[in-house]
Amino acid sequence: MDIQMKKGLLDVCVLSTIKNSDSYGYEMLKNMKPYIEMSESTLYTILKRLELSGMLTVYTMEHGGRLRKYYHITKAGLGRIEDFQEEWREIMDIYRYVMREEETK
Amino acid sequence: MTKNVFIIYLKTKLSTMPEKEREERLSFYREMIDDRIEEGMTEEEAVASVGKIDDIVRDILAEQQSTGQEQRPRTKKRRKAWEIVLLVLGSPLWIVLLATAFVVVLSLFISLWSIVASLWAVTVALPVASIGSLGACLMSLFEGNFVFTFVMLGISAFCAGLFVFAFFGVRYVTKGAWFFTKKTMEGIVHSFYRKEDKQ
Repeated sequence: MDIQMKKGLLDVCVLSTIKNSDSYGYEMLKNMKPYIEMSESTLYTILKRLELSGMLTVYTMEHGGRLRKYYHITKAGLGRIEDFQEEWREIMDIYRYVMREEETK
Repeated sequence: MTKNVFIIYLKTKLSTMPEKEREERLSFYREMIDDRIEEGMTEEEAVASVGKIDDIVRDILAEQQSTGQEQRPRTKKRRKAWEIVLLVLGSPLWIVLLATAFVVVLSLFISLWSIVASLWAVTVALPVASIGSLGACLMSLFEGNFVFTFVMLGISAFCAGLFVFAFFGVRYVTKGAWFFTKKTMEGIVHSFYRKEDKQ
């Protein structure tokens, strides 16, 4: 898969795990696991990228006597998911068109 | 492997990374391991499930490369002929300057450590003075000179008390001087390494 496309998809994937409620690294990995296997280093890089681009914010909270980082989606992040849904409809249209061409061969 | 050993290994392998970024990554892994332990894994299992260190390091470097964050290896430039000529011709000047700088730095260290040494001398003298005045106190007690006994007892207690404060204060100063010396030496060594790289 094209690297830029994959990056974009993974970004949306991570954003959607915190769409409804804030979450922390390990929980995000677990939630995504049935759909996509992601290493810790990949997740870290994506979270950092999303933080820098203002798609999410990070805050620290005490949990069980230690500090844990939680990630919260911003309006820009929610907007990114909506854009993705729109883009994906277009991609699916193209896909269907391509597949029809394949089938007629 | 325990969590601490894992983190130390990872830290060593990522030593070329800027410190802030490295610490952020390490705390991310710490949290990941802690969360697994909390879920019921043993420490060993939690560390193992995070993955092999070499694979992690490879992943991190690959991620960095794809985002263009990698540190470019320093390219070694060859010194041009005129630079060599200039270096040789200028040697009477730069050798003298280098020697002067060396002497200045050395004398700075000597004076700094002389202060530290004299502070320790005073600190060590305090308990000696305390014991001495205690001795004088006892002797004057036998002689029946009670005013002198009280004065000596007071001096002894004062010296002993001052010693406690002085000891901690001077220890702090020594640590500071050691830190300064270490950092300065590291800075000098580091600047020479960089010069070598540019050659």
